[in-house]
Amino acid sequence: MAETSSPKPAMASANNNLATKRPLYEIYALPAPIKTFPLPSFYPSNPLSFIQLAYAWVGQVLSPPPAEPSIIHQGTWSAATTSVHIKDAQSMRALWEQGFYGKGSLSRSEPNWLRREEVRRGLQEGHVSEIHTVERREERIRAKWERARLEQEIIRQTREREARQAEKHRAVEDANTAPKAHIPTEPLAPVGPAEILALPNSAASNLGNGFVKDGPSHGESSDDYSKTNGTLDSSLESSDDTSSTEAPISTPVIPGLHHLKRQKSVRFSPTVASTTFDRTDPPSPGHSTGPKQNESAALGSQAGAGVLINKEHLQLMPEEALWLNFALGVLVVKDPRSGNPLSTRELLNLFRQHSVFPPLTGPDDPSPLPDDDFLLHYVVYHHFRSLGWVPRAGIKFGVDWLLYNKGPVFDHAEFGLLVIPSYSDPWWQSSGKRKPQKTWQWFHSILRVLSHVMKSMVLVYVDVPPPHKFEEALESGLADALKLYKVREIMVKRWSSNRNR
Amino acid sequence: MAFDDDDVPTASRQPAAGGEDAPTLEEEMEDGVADFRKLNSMFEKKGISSKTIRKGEKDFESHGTQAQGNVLEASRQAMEEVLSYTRIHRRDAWVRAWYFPDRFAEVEDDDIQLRERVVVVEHEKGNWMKDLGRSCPSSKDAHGAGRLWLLPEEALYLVERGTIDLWWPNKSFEELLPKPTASEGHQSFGPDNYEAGLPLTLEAAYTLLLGFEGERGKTTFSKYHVFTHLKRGGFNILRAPQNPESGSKSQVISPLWGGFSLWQSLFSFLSLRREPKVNSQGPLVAPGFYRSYHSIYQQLAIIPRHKPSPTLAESTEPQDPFKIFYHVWKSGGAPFSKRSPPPPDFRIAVTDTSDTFVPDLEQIQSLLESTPYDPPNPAWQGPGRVYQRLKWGHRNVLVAIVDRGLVNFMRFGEGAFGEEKVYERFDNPRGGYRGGKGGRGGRGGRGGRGRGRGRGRR
Repeated sequence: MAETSSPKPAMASANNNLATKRPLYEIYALPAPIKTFPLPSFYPSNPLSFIQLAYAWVGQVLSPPPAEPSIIHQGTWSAATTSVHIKDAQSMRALWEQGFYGKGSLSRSEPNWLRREEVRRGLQEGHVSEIHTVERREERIRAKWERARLEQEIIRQTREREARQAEKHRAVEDANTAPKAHIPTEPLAPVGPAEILALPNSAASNLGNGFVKDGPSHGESSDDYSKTNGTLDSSLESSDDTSSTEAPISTPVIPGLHHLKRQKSVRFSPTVASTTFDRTDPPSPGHSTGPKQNESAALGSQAGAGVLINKEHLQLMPEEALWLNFALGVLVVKDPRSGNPLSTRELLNLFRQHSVFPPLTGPDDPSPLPDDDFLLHYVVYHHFRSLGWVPRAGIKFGVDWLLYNKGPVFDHAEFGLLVIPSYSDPWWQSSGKRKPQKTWQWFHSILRVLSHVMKSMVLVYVDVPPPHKFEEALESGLADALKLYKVREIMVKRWSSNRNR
Repeated sequence: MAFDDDDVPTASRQPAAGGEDAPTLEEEMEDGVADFRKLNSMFEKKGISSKTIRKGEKDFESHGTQAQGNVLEASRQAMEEVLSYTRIHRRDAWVRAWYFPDRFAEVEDDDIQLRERVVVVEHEKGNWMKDLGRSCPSSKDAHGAGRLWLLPEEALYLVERGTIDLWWPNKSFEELLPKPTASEGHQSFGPDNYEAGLPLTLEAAYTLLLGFEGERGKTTFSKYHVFTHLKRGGFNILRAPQNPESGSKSQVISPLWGGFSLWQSLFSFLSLRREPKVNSQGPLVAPGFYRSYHSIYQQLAIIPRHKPSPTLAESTEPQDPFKIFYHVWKSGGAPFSKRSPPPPDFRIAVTDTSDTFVPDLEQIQSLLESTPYDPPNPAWQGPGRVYQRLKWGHRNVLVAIVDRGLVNFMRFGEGAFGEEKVYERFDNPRGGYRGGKGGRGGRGGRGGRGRGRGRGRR
């Protein structure tokens, strides 16, 4: 999710020359939305540190800091998007910075639409990841274009050299004027690639026609090709010569060559870069192209009058919202209609009902089983969050969760998690529950995507308790119900016999 | 480039220089793209020397230069030369084997799987015997004691290779293969003696030696594919013993366990008092004043975590096909002994895409539990090697997935994220919370994807 957009440490250091820039470890100092108050450590070698320690302790005793979590964020449930919306700017920043929760509704992950907009309008100097990504992409497109151009250049030089050689060869033969002794006695069926290439209307024959001035028949040009193929070694040498780049001499215009070039199906237009959409642009077509400098200047003067209003909110996945509410207790989710805060139980029911579409909110709808999608994913989310990992949605890579060690700002996700329910309890077998049967094709397709982005796959099996035990435990509390689940991780890696010899 | 997903986050990262070319070549070989020019150079024929062989850029279209055509033609010629090479079977290297499917039908299962061995070798010549075939002990077959008997996959592999000539017997075992001592001057049947038996074609060998799962004296197509794949790769491969290794499983130390659990219950009683009371209705983290994240995260740990252990209290018997079938050893090193092989380098279960699915928890768990405890290298310490430790796992097994003849291997490892408590780092921010460089060690030099356009080529 935040793969490409997040500023990487290298970039951050590149931006350190900006005086206003805060270092990353300072912005993301808190790993969770709860503060801790560690006492300064005491070094026996440094007696002054004892004073420091005592001062901190006395300070904390005399005026104890407010009970953590001191800030409870407010969110609103949105059934239409199956997510919890956070509208308060400070809460948005806090939840993102303290554990990487949620996603900006107008951003790729970090809610930075306002800042991006300001940078775009020239109101603020700074580094915004999305803009940086766009610049990098444009640069990459230019590099690819340049590479393709160089390749074409080498091919062109080869063609020219071959044309010159063919001409020289012909000149020698004309000088001899002896009747050709080695003309094939009878026309053979074209089997080799060279013969096929030499057939009329093929690209190579067009090439040959272009080179030869007198406009010979096709039969002769095929003769040329078969001859060159007969002497393998010399031709190999000449192919090696292509790599040793001779200084490009003057470029004579060769009609056949240019004709051939026009036939190419793949073309690299030099205007590619300028017609790409700017990621920061709103979807209106008027802003998509055009000189940025002028536009931003104009917008800047325009915006000088009015203040930009933040149009963005943070959206939390149901799993994230339940974790923040049930586990950490730093979030209150309000009902959008009444505005009343929802209890943890109400929240759980709501999320479970909405884990399928259409949601099971009707009076006659069956109540979800303990293996409903929300609970399975929440169990996995809770498991990894409680170990300090940062799971984020992994739909972009075809997995259920992506697992970050420190967070998308600091590192790439190393693991892609696939959640697979398991029914080991005898109750499930007697109830006729069918095991999930995932094909190997499904498995390999995800593995291929993950290996492409250099992540490794983890199969996360969630052993589901039987419904009666689950409901019973749920009566005493969600924590007791969650204790009935078991999580097992199976690491998957492709093994190649060639690399393990 | 309009979509995020097009963009490989690592594309901009350039691979480390050096050592990058070899894997690419290997990868191509792996995909079955044999470079015939390379093969040809091994025959030392008049063709092209290996010096001219250079793996270059892949051409995607004809650009009409002669140089391109010449390279293509050279490759074709090399291929033709290789394929037109005449294979010669020398008389003195001729090895005949006989198909006796019922010789050991009544024998009980044992460690050398005599019951499954259906082909007996008449002439024992060549150096292929270091991991193929087992000699019959005199206790099982007094008459044919010491004869080399082959498993179906071994016999078929040797037939396909042209090493042995498989014959269908017309006479009894005793007549064809008399005891060496009893018939000192007895001349064995020659290669043209069709009264003794008939040479079998390759098709006949396939028919006789390949069958369905569970047929005695036959192997399945997928198992045969895996066998030949690894054999051609230079591995030593033996069938895994049918009775599971007694070492890993029967180590349930009952008296110690009793004592241990007593201690544990005592400690759990003590630790229960220290453990803060968790509010089951939530929030799990009690509001209050915290000196460390450790105390916060302790309250969050409610879902049972898997703790890998070298000993297993109880384990279920693995079921086919998620059951170790082959033991595989890397070649090289000490000379391989099929009689007393060292602990295998890899353990392989064989599955087929047509009739199996991704294993469920019971299947993969019992499969993993049938392998020995193999924790990550103790030298892999510190936060910089978290990924390496996790990816290695605590037990591991290979599963060969055969899809209509294509063999693919997957390594499944017993993961233990519960052993990697990332939150312990939160309390000492200097210990590596900042910065993202620590964990990136595991990404090696194989990340080469500098050329975007090669993306879809495989």
